[in-house]
Amino acid sequence: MIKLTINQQEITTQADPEMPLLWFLREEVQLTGTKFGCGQGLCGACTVLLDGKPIRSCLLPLAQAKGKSIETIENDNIPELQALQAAWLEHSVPQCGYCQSGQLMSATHLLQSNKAPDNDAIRSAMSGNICRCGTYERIAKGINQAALELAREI
Amino acid sequence: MDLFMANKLTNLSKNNPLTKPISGNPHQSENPSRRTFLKCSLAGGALMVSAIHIPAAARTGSNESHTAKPVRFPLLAIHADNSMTLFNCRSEMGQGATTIQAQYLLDELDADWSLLKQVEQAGADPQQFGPQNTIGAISSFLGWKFHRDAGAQLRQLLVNQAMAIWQVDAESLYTQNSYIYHRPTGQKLSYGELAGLLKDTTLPEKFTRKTPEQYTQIGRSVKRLDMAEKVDGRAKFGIDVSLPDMKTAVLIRPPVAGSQLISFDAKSVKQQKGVLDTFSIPQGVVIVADNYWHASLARKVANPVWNNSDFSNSSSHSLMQTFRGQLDTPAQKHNERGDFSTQLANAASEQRFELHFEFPFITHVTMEPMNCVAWQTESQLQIWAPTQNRNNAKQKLQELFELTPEAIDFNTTLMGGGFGRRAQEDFVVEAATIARQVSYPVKVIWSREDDIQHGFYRPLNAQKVSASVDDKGQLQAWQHNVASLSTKAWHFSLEERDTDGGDWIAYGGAEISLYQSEHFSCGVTLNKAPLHTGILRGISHGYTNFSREVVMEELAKKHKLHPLQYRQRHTDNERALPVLTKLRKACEPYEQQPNRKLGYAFGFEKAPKGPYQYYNAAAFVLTRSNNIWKPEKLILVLDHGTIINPDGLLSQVEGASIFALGMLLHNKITIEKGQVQQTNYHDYPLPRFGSQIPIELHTIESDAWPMGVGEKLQGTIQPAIANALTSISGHPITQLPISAEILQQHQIALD
Repeated sequence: MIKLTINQQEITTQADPEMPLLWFLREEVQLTGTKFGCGQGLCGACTVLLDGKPIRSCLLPLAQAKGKSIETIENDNIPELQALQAAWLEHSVPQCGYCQSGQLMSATHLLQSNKAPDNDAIRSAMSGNICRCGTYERIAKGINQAALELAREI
Repeated sequence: MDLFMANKLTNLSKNNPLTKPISGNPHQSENPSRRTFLKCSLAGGALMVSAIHIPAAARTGSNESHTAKPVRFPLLAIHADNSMTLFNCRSEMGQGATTIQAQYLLDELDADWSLLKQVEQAGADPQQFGPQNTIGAISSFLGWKFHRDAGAQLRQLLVNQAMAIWQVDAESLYTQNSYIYHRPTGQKLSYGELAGLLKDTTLPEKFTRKTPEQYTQIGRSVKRLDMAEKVDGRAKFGIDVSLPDMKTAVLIRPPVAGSQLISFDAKSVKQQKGVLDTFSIPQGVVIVADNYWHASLARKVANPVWNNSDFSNSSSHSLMQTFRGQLDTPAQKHNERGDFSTQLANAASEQRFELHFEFPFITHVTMEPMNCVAWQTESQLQIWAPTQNRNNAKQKLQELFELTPEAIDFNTTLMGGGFGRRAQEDFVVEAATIARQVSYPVKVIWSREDDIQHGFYRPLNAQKVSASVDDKGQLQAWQHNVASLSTKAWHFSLEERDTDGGDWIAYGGAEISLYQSEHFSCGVTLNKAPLHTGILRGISHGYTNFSREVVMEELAKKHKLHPLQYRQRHTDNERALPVLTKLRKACEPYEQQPNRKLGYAFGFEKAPKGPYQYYNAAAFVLTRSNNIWKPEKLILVLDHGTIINPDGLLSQVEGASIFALGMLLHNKITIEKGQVQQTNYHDYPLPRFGSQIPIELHTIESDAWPMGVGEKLQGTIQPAIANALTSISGHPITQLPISAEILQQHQIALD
């Protein structure tokens, strides 16, 4: 029996504790916004926040999420994520869109830990997320705009 | 009477790389027996415009094909409340196909963009199945007439009906934002209201399309319709499809292409946690489990034994050696004119030039790995597939399992990238084969390792370009030889498969040049191997145009001419010249400076007849500071016809430049003992955040047929970057990917 919190909701499960969190999210609780890309922590498509830190959910056994708080792309209550989503729409960031949940979760953590990231900080935070469509330029614009919007709201 | 569009579509398909591959292919033969027309109807209070597609066999009365019945697929519905539903008849992978169809339809209809409330994927019902393949940047091209005509005819129908209802003449009416107005009285009716009053839904034969100054949606940067769902996790890709009682399957495919399974340890597999079933199919060993994790764990105990094919004696190294040896004695010749051999033999040594090129196998690595959901119910085979090629996939299923079109319910989902990989139907056939052996719905998921090791690779190839010039550097003779693997056994179009035309994708582009040369020859040698080959963004132009443009740049420098001027001197094409002229002007501020170096390239496709053509040119600017060369800018000039969505075009250009960097610097599949050596993103790396290059985009104003962009820039951006590097190193780049040592040696920071 494993208890964890997903998007502020407590969940108790008897799923296989060795199953990576990614597959628990996708197949057991139908939160399919988090994507499978490589299964080796190389592409970042499966990025979620675990107690506020970005992790590759394809590598984390469910057991290690026990008692932890998970935030996914479906969470509609994170100010940084909301600002990023608005900026993503404004700049028409996604193409195929498959990697964007992971991109947005990495960017969310960046803005939570750094209110005004410079180019190096953005690059460092985002270099773990591959986009095959090549939307990096717009991701950079989206992050900068969201940072500005958040600063304005304070 | 329905408007008959046969001629228009037949003309189109002659120059359509989907139905017949592309420019200058001497083997293609046109199948004229297709036709599609538009029809309008009222259904449940909605006015619906549909396309009716009559397949070849129906018209000739032949019984040979199950596909012989006319099929209807809807394009647009206007509802009573004046809202609209778009039926997306193309595959969406973020390239904007859905949105472009809406721009065409709504513009000609004079409809209000904000009233477009729904997008449905056409093709869910077998009766709604039409020609919908999405390959070769085709959506903007084919829709240009088809969708615009549908919108224009629908508008004309509404106008005619309003004239009858109000008993007024046409001049007193106008349409705007989904309303029709009677100017003298100010009376108005919404399209939705008018639809409810229609007595006759016959589409008028007489109608006019808008002229460019009347466009309201075409040329506007409307937001893509598939955008909002892609930022909050709602977008459903193929891999997200879920059905009640669905199980997950993985497949162990033979590591050496063309090998057969001898045995595997079914007993051990069945003992694994969560495993429900295991069996073999022609494609490999199937493991079905309660979830993906359990299915993938059970792979480890399957111990399959394979009867390895002869391909186990091959490596990418040995294949390349073979190809190199074939460049002087090509098996086929294309578009020969003049006497190349004599001309070259008689040329003085300083007037001769030759370069050899080598390109690796590369693969697509779409972010969403291949997957497909299939369910064989009592009455139907149901499919949910992220495919670019639903027509072929469905047809293949019909043939393999001897099914009628009605016996297959084919659903196309969003795709996490395509790039040509999803033009193949293999992953759909596998899932269906598995589903027909079990009683529940099954989702087949490929691991990233499966995806990289069992792809449809852009074929390894060697090329040789030989040229001779006169005293002034003007080309006299040009020969472009290609040795590679045959591609026809897996051609994405079933019509082209196993025909000579199906081999075009291995050498296409080498056989046609806009550069004038009295003597011309293209020699091709293609080798058979069981390794799957296929199209990858840019197709063969990605490498044939690379070689041509590297050689042109070298010849220009050798004769101390500006590389763009040199190209201008070799063509009189009326669309190519303005592109080259504009690029020269755009580059002027960067040229002749000590700390800047530029490389240039030109690219085009031109069908022998008709409007399938585009022209583009690129310059790549490197700047030096602190002794390090860094990319400063990619300058592009495009004449890809009418621009439908400027911001969509820019996003495709941005993506294409990153994709090009991947091919230039990273992408390489190697084969040892018949096995692909790469497994995941650590040994098949891709450009990451930070690799983006500032882009300066210029376009030529044009009312020509629109062409896609993302796919069409690979053959231009890559040689432009390579030529810029050459301008620093002095050595032309003739092998991809470019080795890190070359970049290090010349202190070029490019990633």
